[in-house]
Amino acid sequence: MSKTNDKISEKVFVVATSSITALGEQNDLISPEMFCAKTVETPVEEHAVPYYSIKDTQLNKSFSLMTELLVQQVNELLIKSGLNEQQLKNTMLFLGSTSLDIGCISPNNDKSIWLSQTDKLGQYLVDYFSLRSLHFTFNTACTASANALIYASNFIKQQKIENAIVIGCEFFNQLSLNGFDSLDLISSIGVKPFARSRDGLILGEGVGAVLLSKYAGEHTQFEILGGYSSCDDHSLTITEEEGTHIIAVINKTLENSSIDKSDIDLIKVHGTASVKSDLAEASALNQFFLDIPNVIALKSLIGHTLGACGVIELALMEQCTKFAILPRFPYQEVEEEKLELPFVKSVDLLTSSKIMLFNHFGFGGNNAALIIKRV
Amino acid sequence: MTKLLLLAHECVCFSRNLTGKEIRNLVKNETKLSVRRLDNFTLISLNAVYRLLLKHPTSQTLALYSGAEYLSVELFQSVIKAMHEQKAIRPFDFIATVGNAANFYLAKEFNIKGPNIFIGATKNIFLKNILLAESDLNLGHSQQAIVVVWLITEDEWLCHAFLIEQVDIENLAIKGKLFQPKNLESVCIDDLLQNSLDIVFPVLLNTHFA
Repeated sequence: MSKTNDKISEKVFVVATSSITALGEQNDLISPEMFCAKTVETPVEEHAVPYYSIKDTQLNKSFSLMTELLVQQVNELLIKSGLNEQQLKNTMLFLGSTSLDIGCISPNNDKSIWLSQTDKLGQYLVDYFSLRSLHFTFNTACTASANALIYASNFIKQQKIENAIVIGCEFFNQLSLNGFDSLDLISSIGVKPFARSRDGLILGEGVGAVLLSKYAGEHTQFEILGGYSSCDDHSLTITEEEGTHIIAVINKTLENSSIDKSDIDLIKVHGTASVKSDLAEASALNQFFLDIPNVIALKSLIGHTLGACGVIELALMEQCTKFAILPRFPYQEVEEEKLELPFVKSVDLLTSSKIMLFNHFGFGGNNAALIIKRV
Repeated sequence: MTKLLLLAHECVCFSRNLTGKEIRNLVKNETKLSVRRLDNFTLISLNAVYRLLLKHPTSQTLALYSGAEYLSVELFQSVIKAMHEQKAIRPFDFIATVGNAANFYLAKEFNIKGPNIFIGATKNIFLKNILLAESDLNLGHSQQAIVVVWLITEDEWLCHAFLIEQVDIENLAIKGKLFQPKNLESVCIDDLLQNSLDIVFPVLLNTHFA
């Protein structure tokens, strides 16, 4: 990434992305066959609950395995972007996660506080890569890394920083699995966002990383135009079903991006496939758009990666755009399956999309949206 | 040139020897808020913001930024322990572990409609929160911001609540914000949090970062 030849502005570019999920390493995903949604995942060990685990890794992860996966993805960014040591020192880290390192914490009766510090993962990465010492760890449920993207973008636009590494990470843990199971939110038939037959979500784990910069790189695909998030105080677990708050967030996002809703030609929906969450999103989109643009939902590929989904799904969308891949969603091909939103049906429609809306909604009432422009 | 102005501060402190029920009763008696089934982390923040807005009422649109070194310690440690003992988790306990649960209740009780962010931070908690607030205030996402900082030690629960807004320092006289000369120098709250926040309000805030 060179300063001299690239456009200098208050724009924010997605210079490089990387991810590892149930699909495997993002770099290996270069054909539609590799981007194919599964129906029902293998149940988690000792549980009858399905789960999308990171391909080729053990389910229960130690802190060192978590950080190894994080370091691998950041290294991928550095290879792709060519960020040098001096630039790294000025690069700010924004990490978003729901469960952080909870999966590897064990009780310790000798201590009054044995919980990890909330920014332990972020601090590890800052020390390992000698990043700027001030760093952020967002913990706003399923919007955590979407919020990390929004604030990192705004910091660049407002000239507080030039480069940001934004991470979304979620690792398997019993608390999330048992908690969602206790709320009867887990599907037994597979993740089918916006299908009338949907019956719930399946959790997943993964690490996503993106490098944002005010300078576009040689292979830059995306520019972040703007975003917004705020809290819907209707309920701690579900956004208001009429979609009123979602509409307010999308409106503010468009305003921040200087975009009219008629400019949007693709929506990356949140689409968890839980009955009520999809209902709220579909209600909002149906009210907001006279003619709903094509949509794409990625959680049937990787599960719901909770706080990591903001970054992971942006990274996967960049990969699809770069290699002109339309992922396969077998449930959408079943003729009798009734779908509540118009899903994108051809790779041409996907790759010709210029202005994309990315939706992310979460527990705690936190709703977020971003506008991404194809460069 | 705009700067952030700290308008007010309140702090609530409880001994960690108090039971959840005792803390709940103390908060309920002072605030009259509905506190049923809330954890200590949420309760202490409700109490702190209640005091802040009682003494410094505002009709401005608000955003909320909060941060802590640890999540709700008692709650998380009890559910992690239950998991290790192969016990089932109760739905309400799981819902309460959502990172921004306290922020949700604060937004609901105090009509906070703007951005609403919870961050994890060991160092510079206040600075990080006001940088997020400044970013949103620049974009007009709210007129004022509440910043909440939890400090949990072996002995105490502490929760600080601050009210801030953005001002054009060249027009301070017009806005009627008069300053003592010493207050024209901005302060770093994180340096003061460990001791007493013995400052005269309003005061300009230092948002410089390395």
